[in-house]
Amino acid sequence: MTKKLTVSIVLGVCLFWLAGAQAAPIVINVDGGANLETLKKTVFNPYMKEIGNKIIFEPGANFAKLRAMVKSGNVVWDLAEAWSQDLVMSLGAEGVLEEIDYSIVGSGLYGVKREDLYEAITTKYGVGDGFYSTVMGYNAEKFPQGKGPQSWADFWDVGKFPGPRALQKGPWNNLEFALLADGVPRDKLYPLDVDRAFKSLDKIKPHVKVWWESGAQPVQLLNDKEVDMTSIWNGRIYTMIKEGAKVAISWQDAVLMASAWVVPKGAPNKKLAMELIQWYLKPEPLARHAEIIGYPGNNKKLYDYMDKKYAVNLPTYPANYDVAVLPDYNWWRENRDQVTERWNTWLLK
Amino acid sequence: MNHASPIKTPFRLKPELVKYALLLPVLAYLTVFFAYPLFKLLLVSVFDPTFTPAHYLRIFQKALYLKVILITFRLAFICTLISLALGYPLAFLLNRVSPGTRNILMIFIVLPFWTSILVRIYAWMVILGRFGVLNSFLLKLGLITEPFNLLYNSFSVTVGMVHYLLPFMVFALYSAMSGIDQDLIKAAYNLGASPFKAFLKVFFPLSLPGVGAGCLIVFILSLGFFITPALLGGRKDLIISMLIENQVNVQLNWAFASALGLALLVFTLVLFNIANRYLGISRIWGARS
Repeated sequence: MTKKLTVSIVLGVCLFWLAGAQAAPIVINVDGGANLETLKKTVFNPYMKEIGNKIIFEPGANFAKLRAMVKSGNVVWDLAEAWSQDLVMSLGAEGVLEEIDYSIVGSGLYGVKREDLYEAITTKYGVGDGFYSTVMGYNAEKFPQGKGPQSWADFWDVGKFPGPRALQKGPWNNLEFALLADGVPRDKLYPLDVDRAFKSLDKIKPHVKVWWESGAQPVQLLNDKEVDMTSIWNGRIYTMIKEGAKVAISWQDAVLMASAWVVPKGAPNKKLAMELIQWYLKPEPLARHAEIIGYPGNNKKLYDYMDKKYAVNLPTYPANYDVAVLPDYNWWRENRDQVTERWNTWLLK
Repeated sequence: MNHASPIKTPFRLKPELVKYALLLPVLAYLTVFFAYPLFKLLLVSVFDPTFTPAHYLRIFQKALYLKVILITFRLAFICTLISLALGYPLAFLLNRVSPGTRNILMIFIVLPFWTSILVRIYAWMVILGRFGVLNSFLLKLGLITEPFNLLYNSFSVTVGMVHYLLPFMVFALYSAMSGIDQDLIKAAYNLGASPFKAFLKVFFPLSLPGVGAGCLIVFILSLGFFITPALLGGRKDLIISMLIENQVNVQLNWAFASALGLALLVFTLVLFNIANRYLGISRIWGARS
């Protein structure tokens, strides 16, 4: 009797232990919404099905939380999405991130090699995951085909293009737009002449009705005709146009940025996280993702898998890429704090 | 104090000892979850990593921060006054109607709590927008030719905040009012007072503790608002919680964020002290003036 009991207990414990010995789930922290749903469909669900590892999503990107996790030694996330390259740089310099293991990420494990990636956003602490551009969106009913504002100088020209405007609440992108509107050529923007930028912003300030904070706001502002033109992220207006809204885009001098995958220092499943990044960079799922949401990924080969009619709407499509502003992340990293303070003071006047 | 004390205490302990013993759990809770984190916040704000008063100095050196704190207090003050002006008649009505009607009115007051604040904010955008419900209605009727500018300014922020804060004011006022002995009012009538005089000289003074409590709650809540001014406000509606949030989440400068938070706390305590000196607010909880 006791022999049977002992055997069953031992077997039970073994089974329990075996069950737990599968690969632990990978925890990803990424902003929710349409982007995450599309990623799940094109990239993550196929990963879970074919490779068999489970992924848990924690929506709501929050770098204060990531930093707190690493500092307290209680890291729960394996992968997080940083919204800009300069954030990656600051966090990396602070020692909060693991160095990207390119022996896995660039290895070709799932067919992606290092040379397929865009070097500018493939850095020590982060691997670029999606390009996005802040473009100009405008009311196409008020300004029909060809007659709308095409450049930031046009945005600033309230005589030729009257109507309320909207801009993002914050100096990033806006300082660049202000300088471009004032006549500074795209390749001579950095280091930014902040005084000149604020003088230029003074001209447009009375005409900006709304200073938007979240990515969904400019969509709603254009839909409700609350404003006639605004800066907006390309993926948002791409979705609007697909749904039939009467709005148009200008790609001229849009600011091209990229978010990046980072791995917090001390992540529990570091190796799996690196392998997941390699899987993420496969060109075909990235092409499908970009077709739906308008944010192309970090793989030059994705255009081989995409129909031209979708490709023209992407920020890295050559025609758009050539007229884009590539921000200087080092400048922003050094100056973000003072410039934001100056911006807040300026906005209140 | 003789030995034959009328109060029975366990194990024959002194009543004072039992009183303090009962307070211990609450004190422990407050110390661990309130006093200690505040202390840590103070440490974070002055040690970055070595001792430095730089973050506190920054608040006074740059005009921005004091200006924003002023805007924050002014907004909280205005919202409190408007909530009081709207809430007092409402609480008075609740006090006077029959219990059946009162229950129905209570449901209407509590109902907004069941909606998320974001949904309420977007609802206000729909109502107050350039081509929103209100403006479209007035334009269609021909009462105005140009839409009113009702959104993305201090007006829409105040509307959004008062909408959220009003129930708190109403409950505080109602709770004080329901404790007022109606016989006192009847006595005033018997002595020859008009209804208005009875209200002014008897009812209103007795409701003042409720007014104090309501104003205090609403004022403190207003200071902490973030999402309403962020989404409904214009460029001049920058309040301190938005700056703190920016420092915590975007700049990742926690030392400065802590300094801002503690500065807000100190300013509030100073303000409360001054108000207490002249208005005796602490009488709400029975302190002797």
